[in-house]
Amino acid sequence: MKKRITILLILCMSLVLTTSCIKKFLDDYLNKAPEQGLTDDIVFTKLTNFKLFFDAVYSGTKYWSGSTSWQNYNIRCASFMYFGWWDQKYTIESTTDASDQGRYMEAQAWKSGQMSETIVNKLTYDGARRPILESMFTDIRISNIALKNVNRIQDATDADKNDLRAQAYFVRAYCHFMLFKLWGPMPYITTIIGPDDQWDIPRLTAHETCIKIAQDFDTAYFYFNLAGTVRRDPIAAGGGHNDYNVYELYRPNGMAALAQESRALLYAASPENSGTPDDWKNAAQASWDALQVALAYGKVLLPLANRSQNFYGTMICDEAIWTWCPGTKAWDDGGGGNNFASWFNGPFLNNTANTSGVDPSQNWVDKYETIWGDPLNTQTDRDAAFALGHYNEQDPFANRDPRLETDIIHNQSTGIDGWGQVFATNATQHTLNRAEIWRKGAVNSELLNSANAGITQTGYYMKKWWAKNSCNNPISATYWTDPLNRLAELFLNYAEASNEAYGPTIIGVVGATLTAVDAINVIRTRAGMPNVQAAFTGTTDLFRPRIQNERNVELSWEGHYYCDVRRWNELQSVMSNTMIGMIAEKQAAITPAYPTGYMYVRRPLSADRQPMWKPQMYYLPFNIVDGLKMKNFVANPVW
Amino acid sequence: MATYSVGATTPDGSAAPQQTTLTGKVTDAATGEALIGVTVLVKGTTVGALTDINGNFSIPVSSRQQVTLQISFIGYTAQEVLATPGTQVTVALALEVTQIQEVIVVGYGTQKKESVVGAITQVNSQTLMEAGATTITNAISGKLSGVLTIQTQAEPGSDNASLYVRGLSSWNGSAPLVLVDGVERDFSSLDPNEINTISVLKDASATAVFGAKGANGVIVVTTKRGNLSKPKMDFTFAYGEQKATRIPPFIDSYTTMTDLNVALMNYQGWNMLISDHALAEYKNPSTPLNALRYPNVDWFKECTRSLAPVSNANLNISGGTEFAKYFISLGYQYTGDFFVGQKDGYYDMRYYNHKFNYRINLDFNITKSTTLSMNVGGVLNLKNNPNSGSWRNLYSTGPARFPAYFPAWLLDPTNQYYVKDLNYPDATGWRRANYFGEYTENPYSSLTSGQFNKDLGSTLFLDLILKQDLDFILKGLSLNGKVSVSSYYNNRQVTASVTFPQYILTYDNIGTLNNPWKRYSPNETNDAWTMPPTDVNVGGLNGGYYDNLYYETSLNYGRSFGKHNVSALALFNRQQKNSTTDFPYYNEGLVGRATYDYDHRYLLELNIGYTGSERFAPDNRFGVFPSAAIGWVVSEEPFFKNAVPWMNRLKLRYSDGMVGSDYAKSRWLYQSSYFKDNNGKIREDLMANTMAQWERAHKRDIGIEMGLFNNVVTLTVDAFDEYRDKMLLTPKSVTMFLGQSLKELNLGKVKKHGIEFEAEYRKKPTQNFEYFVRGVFGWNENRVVFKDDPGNAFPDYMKLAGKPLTEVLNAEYGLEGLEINGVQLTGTGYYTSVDDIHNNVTPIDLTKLYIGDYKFLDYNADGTVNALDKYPIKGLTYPPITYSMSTGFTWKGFDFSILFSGNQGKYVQYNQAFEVEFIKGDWRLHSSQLDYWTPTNPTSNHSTLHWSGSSSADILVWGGGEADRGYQTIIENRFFRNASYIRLKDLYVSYNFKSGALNKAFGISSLLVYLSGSDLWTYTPLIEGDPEATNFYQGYYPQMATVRAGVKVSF
Repeated sequence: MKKRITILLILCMSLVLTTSCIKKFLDDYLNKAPEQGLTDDIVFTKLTNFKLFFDAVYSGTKYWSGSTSWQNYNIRCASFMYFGWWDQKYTIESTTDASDQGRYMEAQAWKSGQMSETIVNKLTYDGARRPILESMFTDIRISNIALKNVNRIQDATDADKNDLRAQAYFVRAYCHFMLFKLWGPMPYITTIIGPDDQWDIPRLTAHETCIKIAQDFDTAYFYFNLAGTVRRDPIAAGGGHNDYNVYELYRPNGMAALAQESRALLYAASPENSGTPDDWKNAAQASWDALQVALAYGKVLLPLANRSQNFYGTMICDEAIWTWCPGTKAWDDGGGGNNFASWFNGPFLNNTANTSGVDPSQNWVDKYETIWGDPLNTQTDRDAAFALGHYNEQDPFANRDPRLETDIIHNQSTGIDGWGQVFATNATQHTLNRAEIWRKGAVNSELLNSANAGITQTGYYMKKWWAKNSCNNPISATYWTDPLNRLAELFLNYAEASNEAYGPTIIGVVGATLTAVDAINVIRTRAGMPNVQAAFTGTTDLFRPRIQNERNVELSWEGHYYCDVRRWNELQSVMSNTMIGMIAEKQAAITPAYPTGYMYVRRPLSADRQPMWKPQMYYLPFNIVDGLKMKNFVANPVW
Repeated sequence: MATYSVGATTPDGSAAPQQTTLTGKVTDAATGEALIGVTVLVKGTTVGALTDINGNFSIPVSSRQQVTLQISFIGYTAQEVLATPGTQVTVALALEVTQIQEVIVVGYGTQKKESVVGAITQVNSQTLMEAGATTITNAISGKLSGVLTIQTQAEPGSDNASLYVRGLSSWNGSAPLVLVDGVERDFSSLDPNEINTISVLKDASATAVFGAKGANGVIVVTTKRGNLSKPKMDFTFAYGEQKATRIPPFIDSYTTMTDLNVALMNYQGWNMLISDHALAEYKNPSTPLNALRYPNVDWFKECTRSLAPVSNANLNISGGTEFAKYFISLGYQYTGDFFVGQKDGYYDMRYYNHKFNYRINLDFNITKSTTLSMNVGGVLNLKNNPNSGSWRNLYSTGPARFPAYFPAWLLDPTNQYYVKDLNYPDATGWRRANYFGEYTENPYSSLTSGQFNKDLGSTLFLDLILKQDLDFILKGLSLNGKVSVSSYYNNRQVTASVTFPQYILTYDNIGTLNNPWKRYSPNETNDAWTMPPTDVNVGGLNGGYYDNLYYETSLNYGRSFGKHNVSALALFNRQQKNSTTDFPYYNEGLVGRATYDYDHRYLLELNIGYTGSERFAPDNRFGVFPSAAIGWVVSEEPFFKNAVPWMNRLKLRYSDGMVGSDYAKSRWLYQSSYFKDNNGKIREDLMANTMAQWERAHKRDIGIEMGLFNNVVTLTVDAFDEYRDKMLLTPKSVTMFLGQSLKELNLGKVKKHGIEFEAEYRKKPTQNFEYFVRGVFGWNENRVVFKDDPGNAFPDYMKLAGKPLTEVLNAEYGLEGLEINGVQLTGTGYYTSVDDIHNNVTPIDLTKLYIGDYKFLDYNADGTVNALDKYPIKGLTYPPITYSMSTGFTWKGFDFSILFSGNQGKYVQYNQAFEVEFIKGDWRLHSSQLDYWTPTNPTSNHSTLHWSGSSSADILVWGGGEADRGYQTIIENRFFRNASYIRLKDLYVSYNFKSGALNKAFGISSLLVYLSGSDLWTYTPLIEGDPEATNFYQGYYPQMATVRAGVKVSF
């Protein structure tokens, strides 16, 4: 009996063995795969690899099948200023009443509330354009992965790790902030979401979103401070410097964390986002702190003559806290011009095939006060200034805020690279199209080739980013810089928050030394402007419009205006404004009525260039399908 | 002479009073050769005889009365003839066709037709030979039930049709598995002369043995082998001509320019209108010079030959002895150019293809129980073609833009219209006209200059097969082993380009001091132009080369025990595919099959495939694919035979089982690691599908086979359904918050069902006459059950679930997740007044609309027409219904057959080159626009006409620029049009000369002359273009109708 059982057992076992042998024989043949190059361990235990992983947030690319090439998917594609919105060039200001584009392009679709699915996609997923939505969420994920794994690095100092931690918090906040600016309140994502997690996440309120963003920036500062990277480069003597990559200045720093935090708290406190008085106090405090740290680390307001270093010519100047500068480009590398158009849309030196330029509206030009500080925003303002002999509509560019000359090209602008006036006075040119010399581009032919340029419809071109780079000077390469954070903004943040929290002339922030009025005057003084007239500094409400005006002027075309008017609850009124152009008509002679030899006429732009307000325009729509995927997350209305 | 008495019942020595003999001869009907050993029996008696070595027989009979002789021989159709004793009877026996068809090729073996329980359809070589098509894939079109063939274009050397078994099955590819001699290989380039059978396995019972490769159906091709016979040699040669089917009809300049004026008036381009004077010149040029200035060019006529040549030849020898059997075949096929491409030295702008096929199949009986077989088969292909799409401009260039070339008389001083070239006073000969306008080239130039490629492709299939009978172990058992190598490479031998100068003639300069001739490309210097040396480059390996190894070993068992018939198969195989530089692909499988039938009445078959591939997650590498089938041959039941004597055959069968498809666009789905981007940054890969596996198809099939009136009428009906799941899909419900996406997941589900009929009426009223009528019909439909439609708020009409599988038509601009999407037109379909424009929603600016433009339906009634109004519009790119009808007869030596094949419900995306007029400023109309909207033509087929300068009319846009502000349109019944069709697919007439004289003089046993044709006639509602084409984007190389005459000589 026992024997039989034994035999049976042996039989069974050999059957099992045979089966498993066959199984192994079959499995071995198929158990083949190419060697896995970069495993989890390799990436996260070595500092160099960890950095290569995390630095994708700054310059990572992705293979985009739509164009079958590598495209930028990083925080840069969200830069408001720079590198355009996408290749159908325009800046975010061109979606408001601030500026028109020479060429009738996609900004108009936005401005007039006609964002088609295709245009929306260019801001969300289209790799050949600006896949902002996708990039921001990707970079949030990278930051969360970095935060989870930073302790695994074997060969890093504590300072290295803290710097990486700081950057991860910073980038996470930065991305949420950018999403907030374009698409409004968001869930705040602090985990690595996987296949088994909830994918349909409800929104926070706008206020909560801003507060979360500010908290992350604050944490970032904490770690930057520990890491010793509040400032990354040594303080240089004047003029800024271009050792950008040596000091890895593309990485954010502690000063920037505080500057961004102050901005986020300012947003949180603003009317659109249901701020409370306490929010204004927090914003004032944060702005003051940011300002103090930046000053302590050597940041200064540059003189007006050097203010342009914030925008071109250097990679980072002494006023800039954190910038993005990809390098230099000339107008013409030998390829026929408009070379830098691939980076930036502001300058007008682009042909119709590339970019439209920024053409400031008369609405915007009216923000520039007289040299005596008289506001010109409304007809009443202008009449008052006229009564004082401070403003003449027929000599409109005389006696104005000096920043008008540094920021905007107008008829008879002078001092542009020694060319004399922008618009030649040669009579034969003007007789061609006497009434519409601007529109038809009968202008200095060196500056603007009338055959193919994006001709201004407003009578103005933007100069702030012009970088003296033109078809007349085609091959000298210039640095192009996006001043992501600069010192001037901190004064303006402080002034705004302090005015709301404590009033124009009261120092409420403990340890502060400036009132709101003082802070505004610092900016005005640098610009060569007198202090704010006493008539406007009596109450918070009286002073508020001047702070806003000052902010608009100083930070023009730096990507603030669109977000600022929204948080001030003014987007609707701004987008309901009629955009005005200033038509200059050459006169036969200089007369007392036309002291410049031109007749200036305010004329509304044509209907197809006007903004059209729709209530849903507060925030951009998502791709329709994104909205339809979720129930908890309620998508923005389709325009 | 052998005389005998069957059954020895004749009383010995009972001498009949008037003994006489009945004599005769039996021959092969096909060859005329004497047949030896044929049984000849006097009907109703047991008296008979066998034929001798000369085919003669002699039977002693007792009376002089006429008797009926029954003549039968294995492999031949039995015959009865009346015979009168004393006269010589000659009987020609025909090979029994059904006898040959009785064996059906199945996966890893063959089965008798009567005991097959799977859904299998099969054609033999004869059918293929009678088709007029130039490729095998087209030759089987319409002949196999449930098989859809689509030939999208006919460029020589790239003219194969795509095959689908029972319609689309999966969005991951529905191409069936193709095996040649049991190994996964391409069969499309084989010579029909080499092919013995093509068998299509459709249901789970037939395909489960192929496991994770069988779900889309399996096509099994066997090649011919030698038989035990004297050497037989066949030589075939055929020559034919091809003509394009349904190229866009010519619309003359006058019509074009008149309609251009309509478009220009809509555009308000008053200053661009064509004057009446010019229109008159277009219609009827007043001078030869004006005929050039106001051209009226029929580009297809200028740029194509009226006929394109095709020819083919084949020589094959087969035969065998007890020891060795052989089949040797050499084939050649030439397909020539339909376009005007020219050759001059190295420079060769023609489309053509030379194909050489060779095959040697050998079987050696090494021992009594051991057979060694060796197959060598291959294709050498020499293909010449201009760079792809050189025909494109033919579809987009208008007749009135520029002449094809300036004729020589222009430069002839003796001609009254002589146009002096101030730089080239002595130049003679015609000159190519330079195109002008932004987007089109001179089609003539693009077909005759530019880049061309000459490719040499080589395919080689090698098999070594050993079969050992193991009767000494167990009777009926045998062991097989097979090693196969398949390789392919394509060598680009020459790639070169050539340029010619092109000219513009400035008519207004004629007779002035300014040179009227202006020259473009290759340069504009004044040096006399000489053709530059052809820029010849030698390519190298090109295209998807491969080098595959396959081996299998199997045990076969088959035996009968009385009425019990049993068979079994156990098989193991492995395959390694080395394709280009890819990581090798590995597959292996274990296969088992057992069949049992009782008395040929009750049939049972069990199959199992256990197959694996390296593509899937380690835990999911192997899949088990079982299937079972039962059959009941009712007609074998005694009760049935008595009750329904006119139904000689009735078989019911049912199969049920699992099959898989391991096709995956990306491999290594189960892994996820990190990679470096082009900036050197490390990026996270898509999240892995850790459960990656094959698609799983549950198939069921119920079939009825009937034979009525002694098989005069045969009918096979199959109904099937399929439920497929675990299909790979790119997850669409992933939300933006993840910041990352997932690799393809096995989540998709599709269901499908359908029905197929094959019916035939075949009658042979007299010895020399036989005719048949045959019909094949197949219908199937499918629905997506799950494709991860995005989330909660997605409207049903946009979901893929519940919609049929179809081709991605508008993925780039459409909403993600929606495949064919388009818009419907409302009411009348057109804006009929200014009020109408203002009272309806429009997708584009009102100012851009014309009266007579398409009026889109606001499908979701939300007051706007936007992307949410797109929904899956009517029509499928793969037709749900396919059918064919054929008929034919044989009478004496004549053979005639004709086959119509068609489909119902095929739609094509009929776009830019066919539906948009004057696109980007070209001066081109299409047939659809001849029926444009006017107030007096309100039910037109096309909107009013548009002129759009350098882009495209907003209402008709197809992408880019202004399209961003408008609407991406695929308009139901306009841009997506019904292309159902019926066409005369094959026509065959032959006559077979069988003459003893030929045989004696030349050893020619038969001489067959034939005429065949394919695609000779088509009916379709499609306005222009061939309905089989699928991509109308910028035109295509047209499909060809072929007529061919041939001769086949058998020795």
